[in-house]
Amino acid sequence: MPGIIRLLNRAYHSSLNSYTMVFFSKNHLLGLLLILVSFIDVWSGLAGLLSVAVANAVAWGLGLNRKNILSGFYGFNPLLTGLGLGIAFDPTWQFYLFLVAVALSTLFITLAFEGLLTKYGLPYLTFPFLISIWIAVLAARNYASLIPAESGIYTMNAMYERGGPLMVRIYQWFGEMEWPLFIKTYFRSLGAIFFQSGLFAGILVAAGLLISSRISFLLSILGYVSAWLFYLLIGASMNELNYSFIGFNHILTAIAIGGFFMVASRWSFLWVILVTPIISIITGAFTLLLEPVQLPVYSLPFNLMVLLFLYAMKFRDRMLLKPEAVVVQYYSPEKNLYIGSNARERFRGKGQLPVSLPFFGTWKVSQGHNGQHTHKEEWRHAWDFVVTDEQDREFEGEGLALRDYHCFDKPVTAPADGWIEEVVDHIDDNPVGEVNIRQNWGNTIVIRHSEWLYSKLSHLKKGSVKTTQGSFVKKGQVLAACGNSGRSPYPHLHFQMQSTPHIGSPTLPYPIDQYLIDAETPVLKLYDFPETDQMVGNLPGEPALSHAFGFKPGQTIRASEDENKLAEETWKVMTDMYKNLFIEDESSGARAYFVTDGRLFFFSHFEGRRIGMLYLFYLAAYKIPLTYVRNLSIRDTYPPSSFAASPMLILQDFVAPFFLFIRPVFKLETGKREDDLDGSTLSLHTSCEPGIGIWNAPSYRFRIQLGRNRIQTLEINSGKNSFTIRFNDYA
Amino acid sequence: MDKNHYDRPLITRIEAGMPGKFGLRSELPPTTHIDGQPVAELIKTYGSPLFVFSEQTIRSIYRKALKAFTTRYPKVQFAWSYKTNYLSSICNIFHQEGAWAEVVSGFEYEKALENGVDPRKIIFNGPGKTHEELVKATENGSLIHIDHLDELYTLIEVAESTERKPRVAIRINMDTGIYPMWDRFGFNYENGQAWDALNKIMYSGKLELMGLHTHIGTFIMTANAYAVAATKMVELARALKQKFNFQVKYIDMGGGFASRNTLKGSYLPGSDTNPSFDEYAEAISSALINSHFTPDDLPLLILETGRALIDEAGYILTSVIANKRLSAGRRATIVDAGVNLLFTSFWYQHQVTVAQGVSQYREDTTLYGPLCMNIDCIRESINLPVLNPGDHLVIHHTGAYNVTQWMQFITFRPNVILIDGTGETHLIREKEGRESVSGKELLPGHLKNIRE
Ligand SMILES: Cc1ncc(COP(=O)(O)O)c(C=O)c1O
Repeated sequence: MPGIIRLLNRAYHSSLNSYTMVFFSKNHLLGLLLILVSFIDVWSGLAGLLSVAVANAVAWGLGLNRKNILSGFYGFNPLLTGLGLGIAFDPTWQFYLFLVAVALSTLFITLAFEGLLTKYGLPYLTFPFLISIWIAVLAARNYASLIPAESGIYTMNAMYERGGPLMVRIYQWFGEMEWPLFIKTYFRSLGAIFFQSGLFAGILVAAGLLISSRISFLLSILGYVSAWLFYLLIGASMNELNYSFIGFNHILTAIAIGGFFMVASRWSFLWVILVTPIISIITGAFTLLLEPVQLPVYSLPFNLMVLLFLYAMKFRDRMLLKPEAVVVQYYSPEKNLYIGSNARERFRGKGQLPVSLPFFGTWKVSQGHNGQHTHKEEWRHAWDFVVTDEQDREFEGEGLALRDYHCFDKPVTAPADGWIEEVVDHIDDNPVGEVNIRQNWGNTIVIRHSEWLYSKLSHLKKGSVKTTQGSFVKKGQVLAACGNSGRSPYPHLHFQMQSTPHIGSPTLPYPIDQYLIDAETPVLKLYDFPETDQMVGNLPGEPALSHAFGFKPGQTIRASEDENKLAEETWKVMTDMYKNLFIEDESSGARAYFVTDGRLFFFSHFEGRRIGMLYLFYLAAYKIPLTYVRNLSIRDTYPPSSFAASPMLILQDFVAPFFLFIRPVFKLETGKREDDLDGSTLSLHTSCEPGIGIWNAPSYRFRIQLGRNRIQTLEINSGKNSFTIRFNDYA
Repeated sequence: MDKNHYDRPLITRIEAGMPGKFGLRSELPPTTHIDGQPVAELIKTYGSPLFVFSEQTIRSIYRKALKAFTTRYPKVQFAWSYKTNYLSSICNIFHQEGAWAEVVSGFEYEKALENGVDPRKIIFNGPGKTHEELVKATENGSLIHIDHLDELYTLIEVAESTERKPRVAIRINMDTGIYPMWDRFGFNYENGQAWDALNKIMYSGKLELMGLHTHIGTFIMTANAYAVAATKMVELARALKQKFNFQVKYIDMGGGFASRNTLKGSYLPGSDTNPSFDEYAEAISSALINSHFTPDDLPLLILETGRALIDEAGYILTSVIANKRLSAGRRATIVDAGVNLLFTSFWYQHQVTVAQGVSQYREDTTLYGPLCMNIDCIRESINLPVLNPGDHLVIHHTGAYNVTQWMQFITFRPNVILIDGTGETHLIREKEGRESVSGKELLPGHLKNIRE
């Protein structure tokens, strides 16, 4: 029995997502509405569904990627082809034979485009549908048994007469309503995506769009309005918009560029407006080109435009945020924006090779990036470090001898694991105050960390190098001593990252993964650039934290609440196909996605039911540095989508591309630590302030108690309620 | 207005800056203020003699020493050696700076606890720990450094009755080229005792081995001795890793760094010849870093530095009682602080300066304390300006060992004050009275009456 249920469940998900994927969404309500819309013409709806079913079943049977099938990636093109053919031909048995074959070919064409385009990191959109339906329509002219339906796609007006018997009444009512042409055309354009020309269909689609995403809805209007205005201004034939159902190209392009492939922002909105004329030009040109063969352009303008735009964006060197490409796709413009916008901040170092400061203890940045002395132009992304005493002096005594300098002869360490690429160790240290311009960099070590990432340490002390070319060195390993060789009047350490292996290579702006600014209140910096005059040092990890938050796939945690006010939950640590890690609550299926690099742990987002202990844990441990700094306090903001829908949140969705007024704040303060050689005990105090606009969630204070290298308890206080969650059986 | 200082007449031989047996005759300026506080005022308020500690000096020397190590080695921990100076105020300055406690007796252990030190950060050294002390230290999770086999056996016994396993290290003595070799403490490295003891600990399974400890001596004038010692410690750590796949958590290199003081019999002043923190740090950290340890599993380096951290922060202010001329014609000055307060004058030639305007005339003088004992001599020969009774002198670098080893002989111990970072003075140990000396005496009935 469960076998059947599983099958139905899969069929449901893969089919529904095939419908929603047309609008770049996974919202099931939208899916149901779209199915409804497709069945306004029963035969067309049936053909679409059949086509989806055939494609998905064959994909599954062939053993294609299941995640793709369930996401509807292989279903939406066959769906469109099916709908298109369904509306064009009468439902004879020969037609269904034809349909199955076309569905199959659409699937194959989908795979071909997937193979072709993903190489360039581009989506295949509805190209497979286009090719497939063009071929099918042309071929069908040879088959006598296929009878073009009255409401064939060339005479779209005829569509008014068809429509399911069920709908006829309402349908007519809508038809008789006196709508301004401008609005009518908008709804018709939406309906046309599903080959429906009626207003009713368009209104349903619009409603679905609004439910699934406020930003998509807004974009659909923006795309449509700018098209309308452009047609008006340029004096184009309004008929193109009104009667040939081309408007949807503008709408789909707007959604794709404005919020799906790009993070919604005023820049993405600006681009939606800027590409409007291009869409129209493509439309005009291809309509004429295809006329001799009597083929409509369908969604060709949308496909070409989006592909061109995305491809062009890949060539950018700078200003990568105007607009910013979506890196992790959540299939919702809102999530892409909310999670993406602070992800840029939060994920800054994700996937990067962590680089530490190349010394022990606290040193002072005597010259940072774009420094006033020598860190200019190609060499601007470099640091100079010195050691200073309590009086902020670099030397003791008169500073006339190299030995007087606090940094002189201090160990220099490897900033990350790597291979020694180059070593120079024979250049004399300059007497204080003199420079050696001939051998600019003095004694130097270049380390290769990856094929494109090198670090360089310069002005080392003559004869101090403790490694050899070609050796493998470990992060933190002592390599040499700080000296005064090369262009260095006073002893200091020059450190830079570069992408080529030469001494004298230009510098690369590459951040230090984690460091502490030593000040009255110490500041922890993550993936940042130490600045001139800051006192900076590496900081050791706190094993109690790195063990406790080192969740490994396969791990199981039982969470129980002391007074049984909350039901016990069993959490499993898992990883998906994309190697995303998450904790899943077995009973509810809720998932808290997290990221960790061993130095920092944070949750990226939460999916599922927003009650229960996993959700509270997500809020409580939103961002945890795995290191201990006394009196550390950090802040972060949750994506507004971490909270259940509320009127203000909906309003926020509408204005989100322009400004965020809902900024739920996460705060963390380190409590007392009892450190010990056998492992520390410590607590973290965190809080969640949903802030203005979210009335339906309380503010929480949390206390995470750690000991024996694991989380012991999570205390939660929400004003009226307080709980203590215990973490059991996790090792 | 101050009266002009009276200079008594004086005849001196001209010596043109030649270093004599007792070093260069440097002419030091008078010390009229300590941390901005006038010496004369301090004596007026708190009496003479007077111990003065400078909080600012303590903190700045501590930070300097710490920096010398942390810029060379990733994990460093100082443990304040209580015996050097266990005035609670002094200990707590070090604890505030982050130092653990190193104690060598039940009394010191209790004192550290009372000062609020986390018991797991107390290192319990010394050859004379009692059974009860071991039980208590075990239950508290303190770090017990085993001095001899009998103690090891006692601890194994203790382990049977306590809930926790004793957390231990062994003290190791070794030849580092230093004379005298302190081989009366701990287990010898060269003859294999240390390795035997470690094997016993590992096989017993009753003790939790945490680290290795050595203390090669005190006032070590050559940093290289530490490099030798550290290398031998690393050897033992490596043997443990090889044989038992056991990783020691720390290596404790003990104390022994020389302070800025000048040892008796030295030609040159200690501040010029003694190794700096940087030199000791370089010797120890290079030995550890150039070892088999990978950067990730370098053990914690513990240092029990005593005198080098506190000597400079301590002063004794004293007043001239009288001047005398000795039989051979030599000038002698008697001051009110003697070896009862300045125990370290047996080892050091303490620097002494005057506290008020100086005359241009100087004379080779012997400085005596007020005790009615022949040994009560603070400096046998020091070039001082002529002094009158009531003048004040400042004895420098007296922070280590004096307030723990001072003697109660024929008189009371004086006030001890601390000048804090803002220049404010705090009385941190009150002058003793009759009660402190005789208060604990009990008089048998038949001795109560001395008259018929
Ligand atoms: C075991 C131990 N640690 C530390 C010290 C402190 O030594 P120092 O004052 O020479 O630094 C001593 C002094 O004798 C000692 O015995």
